[in-house]
Amino acid sequence: MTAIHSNDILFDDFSILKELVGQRQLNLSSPTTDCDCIGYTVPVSDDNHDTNQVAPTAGQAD
Amino acid sequence: MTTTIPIKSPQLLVRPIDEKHFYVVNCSFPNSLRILNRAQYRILAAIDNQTPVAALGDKLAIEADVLEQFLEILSQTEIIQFDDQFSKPQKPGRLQSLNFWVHTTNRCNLSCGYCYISTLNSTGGMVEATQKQLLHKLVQTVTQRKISHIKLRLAGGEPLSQFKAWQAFIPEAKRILSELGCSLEFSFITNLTILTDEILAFSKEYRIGYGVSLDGLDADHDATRKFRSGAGSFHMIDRNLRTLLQHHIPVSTNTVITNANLAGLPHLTRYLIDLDIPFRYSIVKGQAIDAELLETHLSESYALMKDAIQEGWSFSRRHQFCDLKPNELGFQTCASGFSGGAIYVDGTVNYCHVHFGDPTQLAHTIFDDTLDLVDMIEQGSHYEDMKSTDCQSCRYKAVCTSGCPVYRLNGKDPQCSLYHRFIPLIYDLQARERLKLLQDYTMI
Ligand code: SF4
Repeated sequence: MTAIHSNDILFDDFSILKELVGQRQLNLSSPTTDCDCIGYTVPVSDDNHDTNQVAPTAGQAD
Repeated sequence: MTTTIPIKSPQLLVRPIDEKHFYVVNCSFPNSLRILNRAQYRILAAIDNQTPVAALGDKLAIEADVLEQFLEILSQTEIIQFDDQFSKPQKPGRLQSLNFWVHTTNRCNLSCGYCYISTLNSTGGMVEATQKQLLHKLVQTVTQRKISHIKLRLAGGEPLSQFKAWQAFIPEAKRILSELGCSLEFSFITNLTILTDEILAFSKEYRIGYGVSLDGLDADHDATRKFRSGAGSFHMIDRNLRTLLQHHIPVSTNTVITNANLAGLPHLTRYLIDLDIPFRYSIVKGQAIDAELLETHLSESYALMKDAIQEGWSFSRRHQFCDLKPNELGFQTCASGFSGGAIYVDGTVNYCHVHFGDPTQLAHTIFDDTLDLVDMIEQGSHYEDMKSTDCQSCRYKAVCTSGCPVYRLNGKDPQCSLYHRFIPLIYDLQARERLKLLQDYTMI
């Protein structure tokens, strides 16, 4: 067993890069925080829905 | 330690990167990808979930303490464990953040002609009384539930046609919630055909992000996103994307792949790589798509991404495929039913915005003062846990989480088989990116 062999076995890419670039760079999250539904529009149109309508209970809010 | 038996995670993916390097990832443990050299790969391959550490060392002719140290490294991200207790992404016990889609208007300037400036602050959007009630519900929910973060995605129609209506709301709501210890974040889900200096300055000041719908490059985009005059909108989006990037405003694009635009996918990919913008490709739901062509053009696109990685392009920070979460993993696909939902222009609260206006769906209203927003989520529809038995045993279940709950077929994402081909490819590209980083630092 050679020392080089041990170094090979104990190669730890995560620790090396943590030192060099920081843990935050290594812990990846999704590049966008939206979900697929962002591409889907609402299946109601101006014609069948009055967007100015306020729910009948609106007055109770204030 | 020498008598203990190392057990591999049942969700491991182990693949070669080049002739000297491999990678391993536990698809159920966040950020677990590791680059392996040949010696390490040999050890991992020899773990058979039966042989104790000492016997493994003898078999491989490796000193016990070196082997033990290596196994310790692998166990940090549960590539292996010394018992078979592997963790799974779990629903957190306490809700800390909320995420709502807010439907600001049904109106879209793309069907209203070029005179979009005149539509700013036009009617047809959420009225002030509804906005006020929304803020009231946010305050009530934050106070009662000790929520520390809320994201509102302002969508439509075209939310930027309603900019004036939200210009006062955003700073006020941020200030009021911040006094309660809750950060409030906004983004516009927009076609990006409206971007004035005022909107730009405001977005910068309040750090508003942009999710931009892009159907393709040039003619591919213009084929579906036209003004009423017939003119395409791509040239405006291209200009406005560059403006947002120049001003360091967080922006990403979203492309829904359909039969109409899939041939243009490689060109679009090249464009998005060159722009260095985060981009999402998702596959049309509820509509047929040519599976063979899809695979061909997606493969071509990923080949371009592979080349770009070698040039230093950051794949893992720039590209997202569908709702897949290869790194942070998850217990469910989106916030709906757990920490989020959709609020319609009149204050109706639904599970998802695709349910707006559907009388068969359970709905609440923000004008109901007996329930806070979390009650409404809890007492609303719940599609998120309807998953197939195949999904329970799938290696990629924490990456895919069975796809969008509203569009599942028999409890599975309709693109299941495509995911089985492309999830490994996504990890391959992440591994290449990691290897390139190590090589750039001459660490390997
Ligand atoms: S839909 Fe397919 S890829 Fe997704 S978790 Fe279920 S079986 Fe796995």
